[in-house]
Amino acid sequence: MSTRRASSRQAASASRVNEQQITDLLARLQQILPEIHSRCRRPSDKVSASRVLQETCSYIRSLQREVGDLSDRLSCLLTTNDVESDEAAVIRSLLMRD
Amino acid sequence: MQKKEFIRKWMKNLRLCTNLKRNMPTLERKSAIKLSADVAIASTRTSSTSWSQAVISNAIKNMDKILVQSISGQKMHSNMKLCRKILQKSRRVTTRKKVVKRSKSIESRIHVLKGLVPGGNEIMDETSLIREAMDYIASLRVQVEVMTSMASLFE
Repeated sequence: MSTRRASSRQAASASRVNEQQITDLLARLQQILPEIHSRCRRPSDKVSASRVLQETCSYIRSLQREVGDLSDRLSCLLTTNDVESDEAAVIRSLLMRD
Repeated sequence: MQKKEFIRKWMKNLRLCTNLKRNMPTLERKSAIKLSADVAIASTRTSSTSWSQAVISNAIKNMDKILVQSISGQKMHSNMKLCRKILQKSRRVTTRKKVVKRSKSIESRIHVLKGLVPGGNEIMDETSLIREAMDYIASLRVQVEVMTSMASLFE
């Protein structure tokens, strides 16, 4: 009897620690999401976990779309010559844009 | 650091891709450019994340195997070992699934997130999923930043 209570207490405290981990991670995630970050006047403003996850999904989708669009643009702009002939200069220019 | 590494690897990949076919039609060129970039950014994070390993193993499955081997800079059998490791890890974790009460909306958002992060469906615990998502987002931002610079260079 007592061992069952003890093990369920253990499981409960373990899931509490897990909850805290998740809350912390979601807070960090909130910092890097542009939509939420620009709207919150203070970083400590609470946004629901559901909202953070929703924004995360939209943000990932928009970034993936951007990669696809950029690949499209680059396929029209890049030819074999561009990349091969002056690769060092290309790399230098890309690195300088910071 | 990640940005430099990505630029270096992507340039190398592009060189390899364009070397293979001189007169590529635009759609093929787009796929080659996107694949080079995706594999390059993933290979900057393969030692610490599972999304990157999923990207590379998916690329292996979908594209010409020789092409991917040369552009990911890893040997074929080591990539296969990575695939097997990912599958094994997910099998081990499923046997200890904890039941945590979550609202339905959070459950469904997590489900969507799993579909968006490469290899997300193999990740069983939420903490790892969120960590992977954060790393994936940071890497995507680097990828977009560099590809945007590249586009403005040639326009």
